[in-house]
Amino acid sequence: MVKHCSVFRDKTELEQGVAKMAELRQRFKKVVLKDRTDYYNTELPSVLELGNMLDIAYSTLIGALAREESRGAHTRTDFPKRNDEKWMQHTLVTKKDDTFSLSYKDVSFTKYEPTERKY
Amino acid sequence: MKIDLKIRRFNPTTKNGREPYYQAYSIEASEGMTVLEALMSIAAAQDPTLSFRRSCRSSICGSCAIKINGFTKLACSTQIIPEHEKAHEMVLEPIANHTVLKDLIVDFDPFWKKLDKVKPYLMPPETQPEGRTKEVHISEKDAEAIDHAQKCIMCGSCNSECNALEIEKKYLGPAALAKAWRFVGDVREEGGRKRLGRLSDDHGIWDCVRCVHCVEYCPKGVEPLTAIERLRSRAIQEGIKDNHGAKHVEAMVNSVKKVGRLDEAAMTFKTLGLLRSLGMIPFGLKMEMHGKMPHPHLFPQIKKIDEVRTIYAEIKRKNKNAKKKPKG
Repeated sequence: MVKHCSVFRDKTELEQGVAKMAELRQRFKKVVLKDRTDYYNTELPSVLELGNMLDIAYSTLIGALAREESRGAHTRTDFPKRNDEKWMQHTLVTKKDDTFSLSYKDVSFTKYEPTERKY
Repeated sequence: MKIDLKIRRFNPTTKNGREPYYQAYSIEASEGMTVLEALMSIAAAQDPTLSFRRSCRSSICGSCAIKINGFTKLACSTQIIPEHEKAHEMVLEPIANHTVLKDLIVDFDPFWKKLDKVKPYLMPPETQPEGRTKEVHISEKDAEAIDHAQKCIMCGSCNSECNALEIEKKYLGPAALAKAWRFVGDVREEGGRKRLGRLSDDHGIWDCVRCVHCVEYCPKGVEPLTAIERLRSRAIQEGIKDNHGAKHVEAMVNSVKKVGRLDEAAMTFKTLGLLRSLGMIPFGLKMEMHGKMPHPHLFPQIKKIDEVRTIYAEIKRKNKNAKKKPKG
């Protein structure tokens, strides 16, 4: 994630990252516990956490790849400009039967309208 | 740098682990590596069955207190190479005065129960006292008096090293008493006197033997002993003297005042009263057999008793002056 999905990102790095993460998620399916006891098994939560982390990392990668603009800590070197017209929306990732799908939700703002950072 | 570790293992659910044993591991330690990092690398790469508590890795959560080469420390704030250089070994054990559940994990239930006993929350007056219109202002001095006690991260290091807790499991322990002072010493607190009454009961503030271990081993500078001593003097100031601890202190003060030294032989009667002292006779005989029995002085009074009395008079005068000054 540090190499492929840091603050500065571009299409090629992100695509490589998605491919690598997909491979890691496949490998995770074969995960085994070495500690087979059921008493203060601290390996179990760490394995469960790893699975969740892989899911979150994958969601972050596909979301970043689809968002072709720069916004805050998401800086696409291939799309350096902020694009409010198309991307003023939240990315939603849904996992269903091991496939991830992207959908979007409009941003609701009240008193303060978000504006481009000028510094 | 290669470092060999010995870790105390225990797992009551397995055949091999039912009896505690020490297991040897070996790791490649790098400059600045902490003991916790060593444990995590062992669990990740060598033996996933090794169990220990950890969370923040920066000495703020209080999860990873363990015994490192015999002394209680936070694994996350102890570097492994300097520690190894001192002892030429690295023995990791669970903290003392707690029941071990598995490997380095101990049962913290008694710890939390004792903390509950001191009611670790502020008890302000239920209704606004008459004449008070604004909120209570806390001066810098007021805050300083309890500041040390609120730094506690509840790692249990003090309780692990506490000598009084080792012989009396019911003793509230330094951690809970430090928390008690945090509220008794708070200027907004209303139930202070009630609390002090309860804390002066058996297994409360007077069980402490003042060995200073809790101050020495606290990773956050809480100084539980300071808190206990402040609770004690506050309890006596409030006139809560009907207990062995306060009586012992009073007897000591009076003995020095009267004869200029501690008349140890008379202390038992003054602390426990005549009837209870009779019950101590078997204990006294044992002490005598070991040559530990304090014998009464033939002429207990020292020659320069006047000098001692001058000191007492001076203390009395100072206390009087302190009381005259307005608070705050």
